Amino acid sequence: MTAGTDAAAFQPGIRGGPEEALLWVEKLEKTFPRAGARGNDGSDVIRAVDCVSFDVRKGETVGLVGESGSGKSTLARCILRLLRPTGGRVLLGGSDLLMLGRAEMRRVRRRMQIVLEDPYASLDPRMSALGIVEEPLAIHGIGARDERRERATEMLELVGIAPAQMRRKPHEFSGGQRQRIGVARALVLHPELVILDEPISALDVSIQAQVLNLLRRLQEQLHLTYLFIIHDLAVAEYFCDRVVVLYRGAVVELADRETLFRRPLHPYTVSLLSAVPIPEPAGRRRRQRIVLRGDPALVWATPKGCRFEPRCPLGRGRDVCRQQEPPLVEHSSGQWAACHFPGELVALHAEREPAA
Amino acid sequence: MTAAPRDLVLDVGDLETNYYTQAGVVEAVRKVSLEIERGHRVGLVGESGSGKSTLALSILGLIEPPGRVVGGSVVLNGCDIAKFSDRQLQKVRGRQVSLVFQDPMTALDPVKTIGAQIAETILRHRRIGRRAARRNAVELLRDVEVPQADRRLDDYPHQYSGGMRQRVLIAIALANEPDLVIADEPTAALDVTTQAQVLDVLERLVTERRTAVMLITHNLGVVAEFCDRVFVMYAGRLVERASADDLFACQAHPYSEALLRSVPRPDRLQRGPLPTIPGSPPSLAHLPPGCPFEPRCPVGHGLDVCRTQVPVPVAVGDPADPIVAECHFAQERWSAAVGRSASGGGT
Repeated sequence: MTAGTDAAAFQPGIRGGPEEALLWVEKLEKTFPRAGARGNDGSDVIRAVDCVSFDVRKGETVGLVGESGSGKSTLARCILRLLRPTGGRVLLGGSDLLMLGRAEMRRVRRRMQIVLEDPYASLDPRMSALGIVEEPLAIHGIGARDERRERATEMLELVGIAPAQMRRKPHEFSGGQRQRIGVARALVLHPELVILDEPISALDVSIQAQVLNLLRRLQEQLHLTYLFIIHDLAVAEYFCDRVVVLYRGAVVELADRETLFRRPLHPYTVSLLSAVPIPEPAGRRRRQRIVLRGDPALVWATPKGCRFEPRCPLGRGRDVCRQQEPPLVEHSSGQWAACHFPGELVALHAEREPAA
Repeated sequence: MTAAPRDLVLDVGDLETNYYTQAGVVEAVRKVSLEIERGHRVGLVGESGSGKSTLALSILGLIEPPGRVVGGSVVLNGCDIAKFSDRQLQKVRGRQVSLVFQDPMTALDPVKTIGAQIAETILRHRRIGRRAARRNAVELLRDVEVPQADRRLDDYPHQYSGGMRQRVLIAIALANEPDLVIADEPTAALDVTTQAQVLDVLERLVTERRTAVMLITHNLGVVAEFCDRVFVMYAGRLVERASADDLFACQAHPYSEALLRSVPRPDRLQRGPLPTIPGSPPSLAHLPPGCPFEPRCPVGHGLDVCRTQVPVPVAVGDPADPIVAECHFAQERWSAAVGRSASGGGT
């Protein structure tokens, strides 16, 4: 372990103390009652988020990656307190969100906003673009009517919606434009933290690039901090400063993007990376893909073992993996992994090209 | 394009499909010709609204009002099925050509077991008993790597995960060993790991059976992994067609290049803004008079020839297997790309 306070040693994945972080997530836990039979570990709850810790500093973009069912969206909803976590702490700029009362929580909500995946479903079809962006200001009682209109107009212009289009309803916009309106709505309150929940997954590739460029430009202009939930690892690599890899509710690896993508330690990260199709036919011949068998929702680990063991190309069936859950350990500065055999499954991406 | 005899599964000629809407006639597929050889894997790429799905549905005779196929031929195994009646088409669909849909939840019947749905497809085209059909269904489920296939046969779709449902759709599509499978975004709703599983299964099965596949997708990575030929569709036309190797090495059409450049590459660490394609595709009810890509084109925007003249297909490269692109600058672009790679530059 590298230098760190005693407190940090108990909170794997976290750098420094809470005062240095904009968002501080500590041992966050969310369980849901299990419907029907008990699980194979005899418990009657589903651990959707299982002791997750990480921090996000001001101006940073942290990516949350993992398959569906890994707990990415549940985690985001717990941070926003749209779901009530069953354990742990969430600090935004030092204040503990789980201790706040209703009125205080409402004030804090202005400081963190979410952009959702589906711009078709998340915008009120009866409202104009301007109305949609104005609404959060009205809800939080900010400014007089004229002032709100002015701020909403400015915000829409900033995301590239022309004044002539602002009176239009969502169905009159294209998918990419609708996502721009969703972004404007989230940003009009000048939040510090923006959670992006798969904001480009429903869009065409050419439009995805436009929205990613927009998000990056706004981050610079407005000094935003992003928590980016994304299942597309190519986008995570392009867009994020640090990446948290989740598997079945827990952090299995956490590192800055260069370390994670060049030298992944956890076999799950390696497998995820190798599954990303590369737009170059020569790549297909050069590399070998690890195809993970089984479905994360249907394959159950032994109660005390590593949660990835049943699907792991490296540890499947190994005694230590079946009997002991590997702790999240810092292997090099800032790179954390929860694996008994970190770094043993590599090679496939050893031939990665230098930065372009 | 060449005279060499080829074993064609599908030969589409000048296919035209319009939608008759209040806003006018939308020309979704504009005189498209394409050929697919037995056992080949062809990718059809383009933005939403480029006409990819309409082309697929037109080939299968599944266009419904207000749409209509207004011209052209669809020769499948030597028969022009564009002239077939609905009854004749039903004999062809599922037997000679089949379709894998994007969304397995809506494509599967929620109140019938998986086994019943596979057996139904088999029994529609073959005279065998129900028990034989059931045995067949188990084999198919095994083929697509559904664990404990004999037990899971009597499960309902909701008891399957997304990746397993998608594999069931592949099993149904392959049930009667068709010569051509058209797969419309079969992995768009799946995780990368599940996508890799599904593509692996599909690849193994079509290779074993020498089934031709037309894969409709907007994921160029999937195309590079799976396809040996690529058609790039824009505004109802195939604006570029080439072998996958050629297309990824040199894009004769600026649209193909723009599409390829706008994707972040997982094998390269990039920073800086991604190149984008300005604007959006033209309305198919009001096409520009010249090249449909001209208003957005980094090469031809504003040029007289591009604004006024519709580009004809130009063949460049190896005459036996050329790149065909509908661009006034295809020849120049190809020569420049060859020059770049000859001088050892590359990208």
